[in-house]
Amino acid sequence: MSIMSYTGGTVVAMAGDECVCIASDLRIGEQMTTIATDEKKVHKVSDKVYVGLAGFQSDAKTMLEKILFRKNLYELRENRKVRPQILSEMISNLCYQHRFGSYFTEPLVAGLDDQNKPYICCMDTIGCVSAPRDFVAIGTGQEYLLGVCENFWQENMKPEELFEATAQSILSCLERDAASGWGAVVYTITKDKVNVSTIKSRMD
Amino acid sequence: MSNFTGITATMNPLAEMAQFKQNMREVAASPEWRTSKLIERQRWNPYSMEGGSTAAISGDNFAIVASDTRMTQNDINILTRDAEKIHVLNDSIILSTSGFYGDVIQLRKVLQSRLHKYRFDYRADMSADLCAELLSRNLYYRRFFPYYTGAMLAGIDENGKGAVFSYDPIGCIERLGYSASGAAEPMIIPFLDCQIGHVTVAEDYEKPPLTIERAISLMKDAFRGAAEREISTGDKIHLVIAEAGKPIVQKFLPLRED
Amino acid sequence: MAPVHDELQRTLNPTCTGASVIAMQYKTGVVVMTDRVVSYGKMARYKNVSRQYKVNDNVLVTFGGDHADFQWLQNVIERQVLLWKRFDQDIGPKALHGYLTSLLYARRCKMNPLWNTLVVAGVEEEEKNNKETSTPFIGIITQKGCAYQVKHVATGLGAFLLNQAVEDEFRKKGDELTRQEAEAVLKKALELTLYHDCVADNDFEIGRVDANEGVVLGKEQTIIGDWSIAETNCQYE
Repeated sequence: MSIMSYTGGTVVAMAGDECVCIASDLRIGEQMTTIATDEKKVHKVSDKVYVGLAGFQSDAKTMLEKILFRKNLYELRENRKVRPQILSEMISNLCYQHRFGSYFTEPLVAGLDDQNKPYICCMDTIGCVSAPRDFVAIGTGQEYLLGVCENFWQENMKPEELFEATAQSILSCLERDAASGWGAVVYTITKDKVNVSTIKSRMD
Repeated sequence: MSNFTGITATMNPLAEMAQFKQNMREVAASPEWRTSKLIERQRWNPYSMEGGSTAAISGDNFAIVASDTRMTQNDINILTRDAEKIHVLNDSIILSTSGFYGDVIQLRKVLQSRLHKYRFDYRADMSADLCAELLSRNLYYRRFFPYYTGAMLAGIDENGKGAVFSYDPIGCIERLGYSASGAAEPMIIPFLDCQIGHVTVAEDYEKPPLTIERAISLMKDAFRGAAEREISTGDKIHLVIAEAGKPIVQKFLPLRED
Repeated sequence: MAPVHDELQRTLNPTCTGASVIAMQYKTGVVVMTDRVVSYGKMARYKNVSRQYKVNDNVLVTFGGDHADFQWLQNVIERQVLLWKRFDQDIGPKALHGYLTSLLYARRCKMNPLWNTLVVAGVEEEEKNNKETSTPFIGIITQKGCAYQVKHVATGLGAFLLNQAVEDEFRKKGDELTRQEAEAVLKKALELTLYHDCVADNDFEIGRVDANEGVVLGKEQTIIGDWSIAETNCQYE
């Protein structure tokens, strides 16, 4: 079993019309043993910018601290809010600085920029960014998610539809991925509010 | 000379020579400088993976099976764009396979000959239930040198109901409502879970009935999604539809060719 | 008991090998092209060797991979042909393809493989002496007993280099391809392997199986190719 699936966990993000959804499961494990069932892998970085960190959760925690540190410095120096595009570039640089001895975590960025254009991206452990227009998934349930999202995603979804698509996708994934589960949390980011919903899923 | 007691003196020169040859063979086969890693790497692997995926859905009075028709080498090189992964064994039994194609051919041959013999002995076609059990036994027969196939058996059972049987490579059998196997299995299965198993919706949610039309369009969606993300799946969907009381229908639908 | 070292008596690495085989169907038959060299590693060990074996008037078997294994196979095939002769039958390409598939698969299962990729080309006679109903046939068998039928194929390194090139050409005309056109495609394909595959040779032969003419083994031909680009290559050490 690789270190990337040691603690388990899955994050997915989908883009819609002036809105994005980012969702994660709540399980933390030590291989087959479940340790905690309330661990969100999605973190707020700025008002409309969220980061998901899947993979080895100890590294994810460290990574999050470093991301917040850099983001705070950026906001103080530039005196403006960070945009998701900028944040992903920052995280990518951070990852690649550890090119030979990387943190075992795959970051995902989702958010709305200052024009409320949706932006989603994910990267590998050393910061190779992929920013598609539809959806991204990372973590142990990545393959399961990509299959479902491919069928559920549509162009220009409204927040309600987008939430439904994201929630159904992650629930379908949790059904089959043994390393993630114990409920999911979905953040729907729109231009004037962020809706957080916790969903019940398989409890095993 | 009979008293000679030099270094080559021996009681039985033939046995000594045999021993010498044996030692020679051993040292040639595994010289001391060969690490266990090296030995492992040089061992010939009797399996290869030809990629591709299959899925099956059973309903009240029908079963549909689909697969792509691509055969790949090392997951990157397309050997042929119209490989046959679904095998119609008789009027009510469909075998669909993925994995190592050499084993697939052998497995099909074994099943076909057993079905042929059954027909000869009993003057009737074997039923899907029986064949499912037969396939399980045949897979387990090779427990320690398995057929590397993600086999699924679908068809119309003895009661006229649709049936899908799913197997692991060594013959663990399970009758399911729907199943998938092959390279895109992780992509197809959750989609079917959601759309047919309705595992992700609330209990009071009104669930659409599984008609044959719905099953077919779900199958198409599943494969189009899989072909989008999985490189060894593509080219064509081979769709085989078995409906109780009707002959089996086969269709080919286009899929991504990249 | 003393350990038995069977691995020393099995082909676990090929010794003298043939490279790519390229075959293509045309309207009334099949054309098969092989180069005429058998290599020992990267050395062109034996030149002017044919890699095509005429089984009877309907079948031509071509190989890539270990030459010694194929020579043994020729013997096996010949015995099979004679067996069919005893029942006054000529073995067809489909039957031979099936037989060789079983043979290669059986050897794989004994962990003692025949190190060959076989291309069985031929014309399958549906009815005896009725050429109208005959159909071209190309069957491939890999070393591990994985077998399939195609309308055009390139094996070996050609599988990576040429499959798509040959397929594109084939799709332009489909089954209406004439023999001349098919041969032209194969020659172009050989030129491509020649540039990219260091064990490919410019000596080649094009055999064919035609519904009307039967098996016609090719004559030795040579291709030079266009090496003018070498003038501009400055990366020689």
